[in-house]
Amino acid sequence: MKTGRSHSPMRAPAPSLGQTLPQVLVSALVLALMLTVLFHALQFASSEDFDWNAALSLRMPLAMFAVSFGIMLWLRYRPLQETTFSWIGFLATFSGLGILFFFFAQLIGDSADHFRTSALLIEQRNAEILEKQAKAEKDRQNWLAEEKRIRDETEAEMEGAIADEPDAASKAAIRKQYLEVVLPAQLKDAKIRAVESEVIDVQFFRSDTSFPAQLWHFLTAGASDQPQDAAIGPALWGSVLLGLITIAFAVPIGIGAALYLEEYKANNWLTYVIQVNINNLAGVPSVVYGLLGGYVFIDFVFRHLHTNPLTGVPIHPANLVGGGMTLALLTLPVVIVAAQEAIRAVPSSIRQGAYALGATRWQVIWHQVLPMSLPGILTGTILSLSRALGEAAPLVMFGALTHIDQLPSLGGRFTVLPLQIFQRTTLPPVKIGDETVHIWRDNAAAVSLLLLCVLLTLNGAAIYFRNRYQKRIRV
Amino acid sequence: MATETVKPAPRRLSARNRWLQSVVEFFIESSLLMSAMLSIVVTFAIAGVVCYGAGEFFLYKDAPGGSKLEPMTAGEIYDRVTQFFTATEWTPGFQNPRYGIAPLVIGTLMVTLIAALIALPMGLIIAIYLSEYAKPRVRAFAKPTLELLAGIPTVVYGFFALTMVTPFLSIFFEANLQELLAQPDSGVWFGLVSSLHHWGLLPWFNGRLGDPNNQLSGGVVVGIMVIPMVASLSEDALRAVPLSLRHGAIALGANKFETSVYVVVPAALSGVIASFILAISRAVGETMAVSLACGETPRFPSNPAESLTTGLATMTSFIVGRAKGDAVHGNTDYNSIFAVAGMLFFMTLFMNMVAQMILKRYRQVYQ
Repeated sequence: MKTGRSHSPMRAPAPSLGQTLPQVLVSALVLALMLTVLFHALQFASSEDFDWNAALSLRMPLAMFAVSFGIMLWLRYRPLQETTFSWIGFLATFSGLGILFFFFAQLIGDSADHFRTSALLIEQRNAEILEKQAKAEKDRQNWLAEEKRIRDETEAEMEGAIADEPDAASKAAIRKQYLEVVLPAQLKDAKIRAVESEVIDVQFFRSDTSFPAQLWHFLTAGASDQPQDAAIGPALWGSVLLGLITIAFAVPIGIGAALYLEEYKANNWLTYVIQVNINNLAGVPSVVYGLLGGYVFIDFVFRHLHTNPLTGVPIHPANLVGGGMTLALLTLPVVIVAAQEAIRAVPSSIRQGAYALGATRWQVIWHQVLPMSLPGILTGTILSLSRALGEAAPLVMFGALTHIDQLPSLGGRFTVLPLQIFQRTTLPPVKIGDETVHIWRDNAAAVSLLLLCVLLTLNGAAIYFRNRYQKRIRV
Repeated sequence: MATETVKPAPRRLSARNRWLQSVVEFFIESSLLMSAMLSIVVTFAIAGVVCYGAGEFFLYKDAPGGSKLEPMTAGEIYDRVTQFFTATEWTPGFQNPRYGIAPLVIGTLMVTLIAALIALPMGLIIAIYLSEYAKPRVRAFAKPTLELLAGIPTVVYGFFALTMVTPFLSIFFEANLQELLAQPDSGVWFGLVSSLHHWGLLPWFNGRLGDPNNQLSGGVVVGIMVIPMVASLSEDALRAVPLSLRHGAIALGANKFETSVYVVVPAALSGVIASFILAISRAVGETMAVSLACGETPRFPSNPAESLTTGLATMTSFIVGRAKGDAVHGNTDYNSIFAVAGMLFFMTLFMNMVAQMILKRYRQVYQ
């Protein structure tokens, strides 16, 4: 038997901290110096005036040394790695939760700010309207008094003129002339001035500024130029309809494709190509789907369809159904992959038992496979719905608007919640009194909060269904 | 025996009914095949639309004084193609319009670089932790949380970039910090920042971070968005490594960290690399978050620091910004969208195919 080097049964003991510390210090020093030089070189290359004082100060090298000492110690001293990695992993994982928490806190704070500030703005505008109304009332009173004065004066003049006339016929003629010509002429001058002061924008008066009333207005009214009135009713309606249309198109096609790939597959090149295609389509950016939808649905499908054949309502090419179909194409890979996994999880014993009893392929699918895989397909549906509700880029390319006043219909232009967020975040702040308030951004925060709550509920439901479904299948 | 009833013999389908059933089966199978072929049709349709528009961009120019397009000579086509790939300006509105894609590519590159620096290590650490270290209860809580994070729409991430990330990052820059400290006192954040500045810990950088548009916050936000994808895909790859490898490593005396990093991750390397590539392709294709965070103006940076602190448009945010205007449809300016989108599409397609190939070919098959 050839003997090689003899391996000792025990590993050599790990180096102690005292042995690794000099190595760590030296390498940390080197790394710190390299980082400092790199950093200052970047700054030198980036700006015209270079601050030599700051460059030679010790602040940056010390900070870099502290950081690199920590990194080098961690890299060289294995027992430290062992004890700290679980903490590092734990912190890394739950920093995601922390980020979510911070996002939510920010959104809630901004939305509360929005409703508070818009209450102030509404009350300000209400006060202005009331002031104008009071002024108009005063003007009207003045005009009434003026009218009365004119009438009395004219009547007195008339009486004076009549008293000079000898007979009743000429008295009646003078009276007629005064009543029909002179008085209306004098009243006409005064009337114009009075009517002008009665035109007031009473429609903007919102009496209830409490939070529930504002919330209701926010959810049902349309967009507006005034930040305190800008609401998301049409956007909410558009999002709901769009989501329904998307899953109405995507789910049947997705289930059909998944059934073909899993049940009817012949393991030939065609199914392989289709599978590769689905995986590639899942990674295509959403703007490209928007371009596709714009070209195919606007220029091709809906180009010549100007009015609805059933109801006669005019149809715009960039309508809700087209948008729904575009998003259905976008979310199709998600549905197909989820449905494939669900169908694959059905035990083959069930299929084989059904075939043994003489069922045809479609009978096996319809009566055995589909009912068992329905929860997984439902998960895929919910995931695709939540993806479709959050997409804005393909709809911008498709031609969705951002400012709509009335509720959208299936054949007309539409808007969705993410587009409202996109538009309102970039609007400039507004001056109230002497401070600049980012009220449009707060409005966008309220919309985002609504959208996030809906989406997180949907995703949570999908995850819950999937977990329960996986436990069930595990027989 | 007397109370038992005899079940009738099962009916058999007649030949005609069986033939009808097979016809129905054939139609059902064809319609399912058509649903499956739709994905191929969609891929070709996307490629077709994009190539048609890009072809119009490269082969036609604006007719003078009108809204029509006229074909270009071969020399002009050559000029336009070389200008597209090598020029460093994207100025459609000028007297002499130049269409060079370099500014957009630099923008995309910067955002993707920052996002990759954030997401790839973090996602891998999370994946290692969840597959090796976490107790099952922690894992059962953490995985759904990560998937919830993945469910936030990208416009909301863009909103966070504008309202949370940019103000936070701007305290590390000198000019922004001075502006912030010059404002009147406003709460906890102001107190914290001013005391850190007083102790000399802030600012770190001498320049100015672009407000509201800069590449740095766009990269940070896209990185956060991509972390769940890296974590879940890498974790699937790590869990597919069989226990025998881990047990062998432990038997040879390695501790848990050593088995994870030196045995398990190299064994699952194909899956981990594939997840990295898929995450990078997602970061490249990200639209709304970078559109809000980085703006939509194509600009070529004049020095390295400016490429991170100013708002350069990426390919995707340029497309959205140009289509948002909704002004004119038939001219070269509009067709440039298709050229940029074509480059984007083929880039992401290439990256996805490489990732799939790595997953399939280099995955070690364990018996």
